[in-house]
Amino acid sequence: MAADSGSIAYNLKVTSSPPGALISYHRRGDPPHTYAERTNATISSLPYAMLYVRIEKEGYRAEEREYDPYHDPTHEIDFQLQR
Amino acid sequence: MNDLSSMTLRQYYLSFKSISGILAGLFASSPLTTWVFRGSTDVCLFPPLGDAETIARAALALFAVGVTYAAFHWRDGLTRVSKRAIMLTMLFAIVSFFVYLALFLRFERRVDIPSEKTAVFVTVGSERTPFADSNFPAYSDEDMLRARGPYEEQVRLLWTYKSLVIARLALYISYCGTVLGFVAAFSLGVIPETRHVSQHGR
Repeated sequence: MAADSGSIAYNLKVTSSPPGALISYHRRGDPPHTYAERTNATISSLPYAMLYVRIEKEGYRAEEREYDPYHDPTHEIDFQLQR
Repeated sequence: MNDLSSMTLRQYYLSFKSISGILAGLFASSPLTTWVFRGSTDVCLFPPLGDAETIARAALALFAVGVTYAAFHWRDGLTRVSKRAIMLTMLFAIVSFFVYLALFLRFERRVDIPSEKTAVFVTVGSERTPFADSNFPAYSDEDMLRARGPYEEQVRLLWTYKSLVIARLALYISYCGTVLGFVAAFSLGVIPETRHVSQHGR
């Protein structure tokens, strides 16, 4: 089926172990946007686009990962933070 | 032949109950019916024109009604001329369709969203913006749309305004040519049937 692009959005659940990490995300070409909540959190009404999600927590290595909402029907991304 | 000059507008539109009339009606209403049924098919039945799509659909439906009216006033001196007019308008519609098809292949991009079991059609331009060139130098159109999202504001960020306007106008004009050509051909086809109705006093 074909859809109207204006109506397409999704919610992304960002989890980390341990929780409480700062979330930032951006599309290629955009500056990073810091999300108001820390993990575990759900970012609502995101547009369909390849997303770079970055997680930072004091005492742990920052981690950035590319998220593909087109092929992941769960819309969840989980980080296992390393010291 | 003389009956045609006395044909009333009411008789003409009543004859749209014929096969020619129904076909003319189907083509004339297609900008609106394809809007109602958009999303229920995985093919693109109307060129995606971004923010201008609603007004473009309404305008085409009005143009189509206007063409049926123009065909009524084109009835003078029909019979042999009418067959030629029908063939010419049909040929115009077919040529317009092939032009539309060529433009569709050039400017339409489909972005599949398997996670939603859907797809989005987008009309792109022919010239990329400096933003697109610097951030997506080796990307295909589809990959660039996937990266930024298949949304109107992103399309305007990735392709120059001028190239988008040209692509969309070209698509719309060729689509209009197809629809209006068929509407004209089938509306002209109604006229001989109207004469038949007049002769039999209905």
